[in-house]
Amino acid sequence: MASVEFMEVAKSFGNVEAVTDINIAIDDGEFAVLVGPSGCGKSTLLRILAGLERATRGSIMVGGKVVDDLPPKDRDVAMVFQNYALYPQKTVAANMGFPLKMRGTDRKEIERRVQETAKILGLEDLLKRYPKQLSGGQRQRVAMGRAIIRNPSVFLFDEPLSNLDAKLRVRMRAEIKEIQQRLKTTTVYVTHDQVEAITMSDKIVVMRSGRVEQVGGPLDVFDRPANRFVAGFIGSPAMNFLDGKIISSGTGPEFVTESGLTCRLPEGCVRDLSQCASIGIRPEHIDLADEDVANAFNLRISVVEPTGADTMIIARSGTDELSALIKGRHAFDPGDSILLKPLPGMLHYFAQDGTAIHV
Amino acid sequence: MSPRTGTILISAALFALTLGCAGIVFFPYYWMIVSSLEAASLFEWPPRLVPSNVTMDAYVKIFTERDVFTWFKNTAFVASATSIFCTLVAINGGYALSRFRTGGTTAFSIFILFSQLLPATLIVVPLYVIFRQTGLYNSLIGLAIADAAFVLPLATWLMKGFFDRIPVEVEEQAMVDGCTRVGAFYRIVLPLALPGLVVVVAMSFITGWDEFFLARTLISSQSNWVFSVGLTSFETQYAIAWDEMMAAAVVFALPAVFFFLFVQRYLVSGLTSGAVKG
Repeated sequence: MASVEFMEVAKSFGNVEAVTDINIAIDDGEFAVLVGPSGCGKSTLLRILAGLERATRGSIMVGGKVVDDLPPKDRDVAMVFQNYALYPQKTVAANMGFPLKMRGTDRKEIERRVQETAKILGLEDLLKRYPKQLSGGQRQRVAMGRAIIRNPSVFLFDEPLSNLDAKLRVRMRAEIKEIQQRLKTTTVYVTHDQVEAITMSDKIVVMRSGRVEQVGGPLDVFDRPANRFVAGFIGSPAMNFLDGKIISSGTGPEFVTESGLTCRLPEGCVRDLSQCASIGIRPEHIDLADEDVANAFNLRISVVEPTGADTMIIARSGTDELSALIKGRHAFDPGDSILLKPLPGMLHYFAQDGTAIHV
Repeated sequence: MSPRTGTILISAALFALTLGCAGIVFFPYYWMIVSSLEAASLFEWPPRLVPSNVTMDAYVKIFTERDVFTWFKNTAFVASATSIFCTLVAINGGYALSRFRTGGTTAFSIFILFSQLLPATLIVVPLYVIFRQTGLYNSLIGLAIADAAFVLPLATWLMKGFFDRIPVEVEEQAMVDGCTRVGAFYRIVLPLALPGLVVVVAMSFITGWDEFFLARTLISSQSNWVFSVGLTSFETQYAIAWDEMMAAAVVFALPAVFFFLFVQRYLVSGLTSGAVKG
């Protein structure tokens, strides 16, 4: 078990900077998730940590020791790849036992630990099979088994669930989290799926274009996003953004969008009204307004998506569009006009450059 | 004509075509065997497809009067050495071309392939001069090196193709699991490329086995003759001992046939798929 620290890490491939100025500290036993859209450099960071790539600048510490010059095998990290990377010519048992074999563990001990690990993962009956005889979920488990069997300092997961179907993904998500909590091994997990990131992590690192946008606890990042990118990326369905400006009217501050929508804002919402260039509202923080109150938007419905428990409504006015997740079932039709109001205190304010303005 | 009759007719026609092709391919071998068993029949018209006076005289003769065992031994040595040289270089070269991307990798790969296009006749004279100067002339090892050099471009490309299909993650996983890069290559990657390896071994072995042009040029003493060169000794100034030559040809071909039968299973899977599912 060990802490992990990225210090000023940068990596370029030719002229392309894949990651720059990365500073992340992950505590011992913590479950850290690197999340961001494809190509943001999260996998590159993981590969640098594993020793499969060399950082162009900066340093990485595992357990307080600089590991920059160590080959992957000497870093005491275990990795699970997106395509599982099982050895096709080896049985499940041989796959799981391989890291131990490479460390010179004796055969009896390997057998014992393979059995023990197989039991944890429910693979006892599959030990003699070959990877091609397994389903996706089973392969995933074998890859997990191969990682946990040698009790490494750090687990590295590179989008391990993205090849599974939606249902299995949810189950494996819980299983990985459970195993990590039981073993208390420091984990660095890469995903582009923000739901995975929020549900699994103790710490989220949101990345974009090779840079870290925000590091924090999952709810922190959700509740207090550092900028418009993080706000839009974290949370599903995604946050609505309205561009415009705040003006002060006689009755208090009011947000006016470019296409003329207006909405009354609570007093003291932003210290400097002129700074605010857009507001963000999460779809689940929008409710129906009964009458044309001053803090509601008057919109026309363009799409109604009943989800069963809730109703998702996409409504427009000019170039402005809002999606709202309304509790319960509602009989709306496209073309109807609708009054939507943001829940008080749930608005996010952003400056021109996209950084969040916290009150 | 009902569709069913049509299908049967098409099947019959295809079967006949296949049979015809097989006949064209196998007839020379059949004729070789027939001729080795009955010398007189070779130039008769109409040809006698079934020999009437079968005799093993030609076989007895080649084993008693000719140096067949020496040819055999030399050929086996050259073929094995060619196969070993070629395989060792091709697996390492193919791996390097597949995995390490530096500036000139692609250009170099194509250059290698182009060298395959050069005919042996173009290279044999310089090769002769070099071999004389380096003491490789008239040595079986020298011949094996020359043979290997001719198979290498294709063999390297073949191996590169096989390595390209093995997911790099499997190898990286092995490195994280405790292997060095070399260890990962030999323990994980190479076993996965086994079908390709068999193709390269077979191809280089057969080239070393039946190559004639280089063997004729680079070997001078009779004690170093390989089988393909030995076969020409049946042709003298005044006569050609066809039955003996054919008998020797049968003996010469047999090991290659058995070798192919043995590796055929891998060869087919190697040539057609070679795919490795991760």
